[in-house]
Amino acid sequence: MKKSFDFVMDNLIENYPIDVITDIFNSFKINVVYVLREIKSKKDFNDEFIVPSSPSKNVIYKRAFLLKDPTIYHLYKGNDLILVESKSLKNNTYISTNKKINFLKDPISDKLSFDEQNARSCLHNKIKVVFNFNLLRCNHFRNQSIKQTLFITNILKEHKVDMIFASFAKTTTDLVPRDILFCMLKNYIFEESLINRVLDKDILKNE
Amino acid sequence: MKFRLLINMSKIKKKLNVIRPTLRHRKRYFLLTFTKELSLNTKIYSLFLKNFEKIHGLFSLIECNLTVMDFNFENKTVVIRINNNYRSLFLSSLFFLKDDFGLISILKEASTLKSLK
Repeated sequence: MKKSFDFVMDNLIENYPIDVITDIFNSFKINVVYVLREIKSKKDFNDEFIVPSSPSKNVIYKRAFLLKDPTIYHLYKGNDLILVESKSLKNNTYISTNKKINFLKDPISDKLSFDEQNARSCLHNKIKVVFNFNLLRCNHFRNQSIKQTLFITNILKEHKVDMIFASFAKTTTDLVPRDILFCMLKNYIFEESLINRVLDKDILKNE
Repeated sequence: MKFRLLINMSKIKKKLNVIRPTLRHRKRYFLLTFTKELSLNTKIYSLFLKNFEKIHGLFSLIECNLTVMDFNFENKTVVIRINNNYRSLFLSSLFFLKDDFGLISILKEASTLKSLK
């Protein structure tokens, strides 16, 4: 693994001292941390969002946005990373057929809402599918989300679509060391080379 | 008759031979640290055991030979021994211990207990 990365929510940075969090990232060998802010409507784009500078050279914090509604994507004009969350088949289809969106987050809901056609569109439009692995740890929704992610990752693997596993941590307990995450991903019948690619920062580049 | 039976009994092997090194399971030792405050009554061994069984099943649990070697409430560290072949299964089971131990991380990993300390 060259450089590892993680997506975290802005609550983590606001609620804990930056030194403490940076030490944790250092010990977990995470080099690049994308701090996400939730955007629910057009107004939220106007709020100021500054990411604190890192006290360590090994960890870099970068700004990113998480859109709850895919239809407001075109309103953002900056260069930051943008993830779009989806919870329905309609939204999944909208996002996977959109050529401007790069990241589709958690295509998981109460019922299965992602099929092979979506995977093909993701490959065609170079869209990466991002999974929040803390959904797999939450007792309430665990079995359902594990079952759906197993199914979706198999389709994505078959169609050679890039996928990403990130914590989207709101507290420090949501974070997971890379070696534990690496072994957990082996349960998804991924090869080691594929897991390394999934956890490597280079996957975020647009080829 | 009795005498003959006694002689036969004495011929029966009483001890197992030493297991060849190639047949022995290689061990792996982990020094783990966690963040959650645990009470003195907490059954650490059963927490690890039940979690592993829930994730990977009974057969893996028995083969894995999971043992808690040492536990320190003050430093919040625990030393665990497992069979080397089950390393990745054990680590993936730690992924689901968030509610019981908080943030778990691996401080050190070694093949002998001596080198771990």
